Amino acid sequence: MSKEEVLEKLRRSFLSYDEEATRKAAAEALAAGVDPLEAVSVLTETIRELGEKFSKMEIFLPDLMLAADAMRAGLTVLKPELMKRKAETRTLGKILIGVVKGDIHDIGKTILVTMLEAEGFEVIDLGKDVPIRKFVEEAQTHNPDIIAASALMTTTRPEQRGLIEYLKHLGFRDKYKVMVGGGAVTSQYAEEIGADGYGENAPEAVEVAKKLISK
Amino acid sequence: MSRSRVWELWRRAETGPLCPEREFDLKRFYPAVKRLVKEYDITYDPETVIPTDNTLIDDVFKAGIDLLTEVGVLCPDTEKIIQLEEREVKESLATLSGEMTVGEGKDACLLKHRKMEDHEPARVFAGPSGNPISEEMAIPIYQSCAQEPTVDLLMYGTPTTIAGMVSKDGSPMEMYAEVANVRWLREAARRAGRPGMFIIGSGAVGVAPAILASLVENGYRKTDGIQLAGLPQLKIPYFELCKAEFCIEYGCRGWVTSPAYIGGLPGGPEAAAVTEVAECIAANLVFRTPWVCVDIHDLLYPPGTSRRDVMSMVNLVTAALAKHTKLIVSTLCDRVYAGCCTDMAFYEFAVAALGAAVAGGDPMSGCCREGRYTDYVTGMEGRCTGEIAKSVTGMRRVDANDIAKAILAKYEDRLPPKGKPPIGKEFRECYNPKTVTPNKEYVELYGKIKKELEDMGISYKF
Repeated sequence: MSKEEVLEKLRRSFLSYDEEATRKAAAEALAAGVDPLEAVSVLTETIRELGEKFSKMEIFLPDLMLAADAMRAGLTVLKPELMKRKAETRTLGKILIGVVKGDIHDIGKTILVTMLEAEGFEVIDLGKDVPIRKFVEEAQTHNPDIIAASALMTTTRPEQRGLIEYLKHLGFRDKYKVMVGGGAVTSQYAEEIGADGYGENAPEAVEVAKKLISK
Repeated sequence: MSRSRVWELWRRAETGPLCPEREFDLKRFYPAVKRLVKEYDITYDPETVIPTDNTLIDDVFKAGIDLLTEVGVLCPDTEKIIQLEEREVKESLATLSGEMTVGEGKDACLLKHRKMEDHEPARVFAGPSGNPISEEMAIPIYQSCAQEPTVDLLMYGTPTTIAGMVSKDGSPMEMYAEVANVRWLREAARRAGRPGMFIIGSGAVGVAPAILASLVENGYRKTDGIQLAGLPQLKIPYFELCKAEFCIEYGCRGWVTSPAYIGGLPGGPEAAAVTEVAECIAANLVFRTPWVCVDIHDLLYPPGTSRRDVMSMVNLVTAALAKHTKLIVSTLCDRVYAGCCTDMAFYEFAVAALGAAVAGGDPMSGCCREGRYTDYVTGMEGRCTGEIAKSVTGMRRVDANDIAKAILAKYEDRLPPKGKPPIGKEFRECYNPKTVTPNKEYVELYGKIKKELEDMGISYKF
């Protein structure tokens, strides 16, 4: 198979959201002597296209989640080879994200995670019901560019304020950009608590994240 | 439902097949709903806001039952599946009486299962629908809703502060805020001259505040209700089952909302409709309540509920449940994009009320500005919802659909992301909080919109 054919097979395997097929196609690409950076580009460009389709509702959240799983599968094969060659994959930035303590409504966060990944961000997803201390400890471990905290309920959004205050107290506030969002949050509230960014919905939050990274 | 049946469902949550949440979503639920939509050939027609095709209504119902019995319900706490058999589902639906009394004394209200194009008037909810309110405006806001003659049921809001402190999940402030909240609701109903009016609350708080607010003096009565909720999709967490258990033991009503998201885990609008049928039937069985709420959102632009696809699917599910069950069905098209005292907010509530009432449901008026901003709710939205819902009894679906489309045309171009809904006013800017009366501008605007809606074909009885 030519290089183009190998990469096309990788793309098609990925578009079928099949983890095993994507892993296999990535391995075949390496075996055929394809530059791992090129193979990674196929995956990132394709998932970006999927992200655009999702924002037009041409595909749906599970498709994007399945694609993200398939992408991770492909990267497990490609990344060690990249490291051997000391090549670096480019990401738009690293985001640590979670739903605040007391809140288990994570559908909005799940959309944002998949859309951010599709855009090329590296995302560390802490899940739901995440205490402030956990956000901070994980931030110290992963050193993200942005910490993003979501809250759906009026009674859980004070945790976002608490997170910002905690970071300030520890002297880490300037180290990370903080984004907030969720059904109970407004731009007014985000400003009031001193957040750096706010997205009313997932597509807007992605754009805000891009802007924050480029600052 | 007998206690042994309840225990059996709990047992399944502990001993059912293990299924991690992501696997449940992507490998079990999504392929099933996708396949069923295809098998039943269910398609969304944007021209049909209020469903007229009975075959489609039947198919959505059947697909919903198939989905529930095939996929089951996940308990996220144990990550085990509560499997449900078709026989159990049918038995549970067959035992419904179709009637339920809520509230007490002269203000008691008989809720009845409604059919499509029903001649019995719909019952109407009003209130902030769990959305933020300030402690200063809580009583006037609640009173403004309770005093509307076409409003039957009073819905809670969530105080952002209590005694000036932030009401935060799991804190004593939240406990105290919930107690204060029920007393504000009760006081508002009393000031409106309806002391026995049905109140629903405790949806947006933990289990402990919900229990405390029922046990204190002037708290939730046995004739009131507590909101219970499932998680998307087909997931019921233990803490909500704890609230349901409290409802059973205390003797109050449980009212369930389990939202389905268009574009979310189900997929397109059709899949969201099939999912919501399954959610409502699951709610009846697992939460043991005959009172469910059809709740659908657009994933990319939640929590607003007045988009065409959202309303069309809410009406389709309502019709399916109205035709095939005796559930008491309310509809949660309760968060409009525009602010109070704007033409757009009235149009948004008007389509929701019309659709729900004709499809066989009881509509709810809720919050303006999507419920994101504090105090963006007034009794005038309840008036708009109530007067329409009670005026369109017996209207044919085909006629209602034409009117709904005409109203949608009045505001769809102002919906986000392309449009910009008017911000309007918050409660204290369009009501006198002391006299609890709407200002002249608001009353005149309502009169103007009412005239327009009359010209479109709504024959007001009020």
